[in-house]
Amino acid sequence: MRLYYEVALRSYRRWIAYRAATISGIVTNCFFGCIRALIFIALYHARGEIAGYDLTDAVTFVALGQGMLMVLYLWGWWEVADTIKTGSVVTDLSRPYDYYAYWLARDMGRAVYHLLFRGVTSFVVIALIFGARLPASFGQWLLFALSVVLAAVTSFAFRFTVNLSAFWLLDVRGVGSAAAITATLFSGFEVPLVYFPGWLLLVSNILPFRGMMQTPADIFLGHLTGAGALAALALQVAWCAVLILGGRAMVVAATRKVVVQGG
Amino acid sequence: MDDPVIVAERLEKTYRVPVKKGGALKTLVSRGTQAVHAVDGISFTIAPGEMVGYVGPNGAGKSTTIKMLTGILVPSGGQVRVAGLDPTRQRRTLAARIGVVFGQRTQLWWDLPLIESLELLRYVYRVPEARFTENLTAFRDVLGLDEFLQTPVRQLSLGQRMRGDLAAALLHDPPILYLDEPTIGLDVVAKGRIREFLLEINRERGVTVLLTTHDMADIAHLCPRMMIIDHGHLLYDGSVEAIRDRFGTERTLVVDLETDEPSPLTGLPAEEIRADGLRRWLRFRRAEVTAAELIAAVSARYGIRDLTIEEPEIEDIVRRIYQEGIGTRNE
Amino acid sequence: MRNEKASKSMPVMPKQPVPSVRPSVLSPQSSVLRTEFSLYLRFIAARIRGQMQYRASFILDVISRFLVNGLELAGIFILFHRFSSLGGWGVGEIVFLYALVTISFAFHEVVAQSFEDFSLTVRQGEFDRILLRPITPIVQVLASDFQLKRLGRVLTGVVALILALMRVHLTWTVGKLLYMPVVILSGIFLFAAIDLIGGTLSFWTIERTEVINVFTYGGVYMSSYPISIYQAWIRRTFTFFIPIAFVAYYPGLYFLDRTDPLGLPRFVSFLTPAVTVIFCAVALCFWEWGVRQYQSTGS
Repeated sequence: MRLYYEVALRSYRRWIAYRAATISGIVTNCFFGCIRALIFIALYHARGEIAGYDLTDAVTFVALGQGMLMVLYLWGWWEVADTIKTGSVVTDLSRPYDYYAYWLARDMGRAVYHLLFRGVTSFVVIALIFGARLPASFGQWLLFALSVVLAAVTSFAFRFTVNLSAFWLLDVRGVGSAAAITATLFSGFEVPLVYFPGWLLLVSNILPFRGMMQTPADIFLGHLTGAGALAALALQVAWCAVLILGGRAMVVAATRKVVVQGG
Repeated sequence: MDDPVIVAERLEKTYRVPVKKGGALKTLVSRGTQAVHAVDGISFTIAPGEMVGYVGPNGAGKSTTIKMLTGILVPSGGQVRVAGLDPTRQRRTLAARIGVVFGQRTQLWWDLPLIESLELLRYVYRVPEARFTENLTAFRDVLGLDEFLQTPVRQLSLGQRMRGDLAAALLHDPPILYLDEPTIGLDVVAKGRIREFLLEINRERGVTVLLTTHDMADIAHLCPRMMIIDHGHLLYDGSVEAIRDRFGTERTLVVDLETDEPSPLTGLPAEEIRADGLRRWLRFRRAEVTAAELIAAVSARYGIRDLTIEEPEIEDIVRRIYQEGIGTRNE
Repeated sequence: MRNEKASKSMPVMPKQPVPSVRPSVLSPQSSVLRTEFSLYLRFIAARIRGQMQYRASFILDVISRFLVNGLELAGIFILFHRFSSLGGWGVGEIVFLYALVTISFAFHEVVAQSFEDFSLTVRQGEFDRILLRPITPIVQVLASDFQLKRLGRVLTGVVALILALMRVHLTWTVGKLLYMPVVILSGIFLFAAIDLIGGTLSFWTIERTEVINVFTYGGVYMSSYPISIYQAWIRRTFTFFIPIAFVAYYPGLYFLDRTDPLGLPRFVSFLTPAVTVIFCAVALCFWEWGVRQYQSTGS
C-alpha cells in the first residue's frame, strides 16, 4: 500500500512542477466556462425550467464541468500505449508490484493535482461570476465527494482499457478518438444529459460514462438525493468494478501474449 | 596572398540577460537586466582555402561568432565581411555562398527520404540541373550515400545523417563552409570518414572551412591553424603545431592491465594520475618520452590487455594558457 | 592513387560561386515572389507524397478528426432539440455560423499550423537554419508543416454547412454567392495572422503564446453563436483585438438577412476583407520586427 501512496505522491508532485501550464490551463477553463455560461444565459432567456434544469442548474453544471474536465482527463492520455509501442512495458510488467495498481496510483496523483489546482479554481471563478447552486447539507457534500472519486476511477479504468488495446492494435489513435468522443458525449460534458432526446438518454443511462459527470453533478445540484443518490453511487461502483476487472483481465492476457511472443 | 574571405574587426556581441530576483511573479513584472559580453572585440582574417579550427570551452562565444559571420545575429560592435558581403545587410545573398553544418541539428527534412531533401535544396539554392547532378554523383561516391538515399532521414544513423548533411551543405558549391561540432557523438570510423571528406573538399574544391569542435583530434587531423576563444576574447590565433608543442605536451596513456597491481605503478617514465581497478591513467610528457617508449616500458613490467592515448582536452589547454601565459600570439 | 580517384569524382568548383539566377522579365520583386511560391508548392507536394505513403492511417486520421469536431456540432443539435431557438436564432442559423467559422479555421489548420507550433521551431534552434537559407523566412515556416489530414475538420464544416442550408432557406443572391468564398478566404488569412502574432511572441516567451491559443480556440467556439449574447468586453475583444467576429457573425448577418440586435450598421458585414487585410498587415509588420529583434538578441 505504502508503495502506491508514494507513486501517487510523486505523480502529484511531478504535475505541480508545471506552474505556467497550470495558470494557462485555468485561464482556458475559465474562458470556455464563461462562453458556455453565456450561451446558457441566452438560451434560458425568458424561459423557466427546461428538462428539469433551471438557469442556475445549467450554469452550475458548466462550472462543475470545467472543474472536472482535467480530473477525468478524457483526451490525449497515451502514456501506457506509448510504453507498449516502445516495448518498455515488458520491464514494467515484470516489476515486483501490481501493474494495474501502479498506474491507478499514478493517475490518482494526477487527478488530485488537477482537482485541487485547476478544478477548484476554475469552478470558483465561474461560480463567482455567474452564481452557482451549492449543496445544502454536509451529507450532500459527502455524497458528491464520493461520486467524484468514483468518477475519477471510472475514467482511469476506461482510459487504461483503451490504452491496453495497443497490445493488439497497431494504431490506437482511431480507437482512442472514438473512445474519447463517446465518453465526452455520454458523460454529459458536451451537453448535460438531461437535455438529450429520450432515446439518446436511454442509451446514456446504460453506459458507464454518466457516472463521470452527470451523476456527480446531479448529486451536487440536489437532483439526486436519498435513495436515488445511493442507487446512482451503487451504479458507479458497479461500473468501476466491471471496468477494473476487465482491465485486469486484459493485463493478464497481455502478459501471456508478451511471454509467449517475447514482446 | 589572396584577399581574405572572412574578416572580423573588433567584433562584439553583448546580450542583455534578465537577472532573477525574488519569486517568479516578481521577475514577470520587473526584469532587471545585465550585460553579458559573449564576444568582446575579436579580430581575425581567414584567407581563401584555409581550414581553421575555432575552439573554446562551452559558452566561450564560439557559436555567437559563427552566428554573426552568417548574418543570423547582428553584431553589437565592430565589422564583419564574409565573401565581400556584410552578413547582416546581405544575409540572403550571403546564404547562397556559405554552407553550414550543425552536428547536433540536421537541415534535412525529417520525414522525407534523403534524396528528396537534397532535391528540394537544389531549388532552394537554385542550383542548375547539370551542376546538381554532377555534385550529387560526386558526393554519392565519396560519402557513400547510395545505401541510404531513399531512406527517410529520421531512420538514418547519426553518421549517415551527418554524411547527408555534409552533402546538403555543399550542393550549391559554397566557397565557405562552417562546421559546428561535425563529429560529435560519432564513432571512430565515422569520424575518420567525415575528416577524410573534409580534407578532400578543402583540397579539391578550395572550400574555406571554419570548424568549431570539442575534439582536439579533429583539429589535429584537419587544421593547420587554430583560434582559441574564451570569455569572448581570442586567447590564441596561430599554428596548431605551436600549441601542441607548448601545451599539448602532456598526454595520457590509458592501459587496462591483465592482473591487478598495487597502485600507483612504479618505475615508469610517467605519472599515474588515476586508477580504477585494472584501468590506469598515466600522464607523460612528449619531450621526455615518446608514446611508443612508454608503452614498451609498461609492457616490459606489466601485462597489458588494451590501451588508448588521450589527447589533452581543450579545457585543459585553455586552463594552462591562463596559468602559464602565452608567448606566441599572432597579430 | 587516392588523389587520382578523388579528382575524378570531385569536379573542381567553378572559380566564381554560382550566381543566383534572377530572370528580370518582370520586376525583380514579383519574380522573387513567384519563384518562392513555386518553391512553396514543391515543399507541399513533397510533404503530401510523404503523407500519402501511409494511406490507411491517413484515412483513419481524417475520419477521426471529422468525428472529433463533429462532437461540438452534435452538441448544438442536442441543445436546440430542447431549446428550439436562441434570441430568435434557429438551429439552422447557428449551425450556419458554426460552418463558416469551422471551414475557415480548418483550412487555416491545414496550411498554417506551423505558426501555432512556432515556439518549438525557435526553441529547437530551427529558426537559425531558416535564416541561413536564401528564402524568405515566412515562406519557409509555412512550408515546414502542411498536414492534409487536417482536412477532416474541413469536412465537418462542409457537412455542417449542408445541414444548415437544409434548415435555413437562404435567399441566394449573386452578391451572397460571390461574397461567401471571400469571407471564407478572409477567415483563413485572419486565423493565420492571429497565429503569426502568437508565433512571433515566441521569440521572447513561451508561456504567453499559450494564452493566445486560448483566445483563438475560445474565439472559434464562441463564434457559432450570435456575438450579441456575450458581454461587452468579449464582443470588443473579438471585434477589435482578435477580430474573429468578422469570420462568421458579422458576414453571417448579411447571408442570413438578419439585423444585429445591438444596432450595428449593415455595412459592418462587408468589412471582413478589409479587416483581414489590415490585420494581416499588422501581423506581418509585427513578425518582421520580431525577426529583427531575434537577430539582435539571438535568444
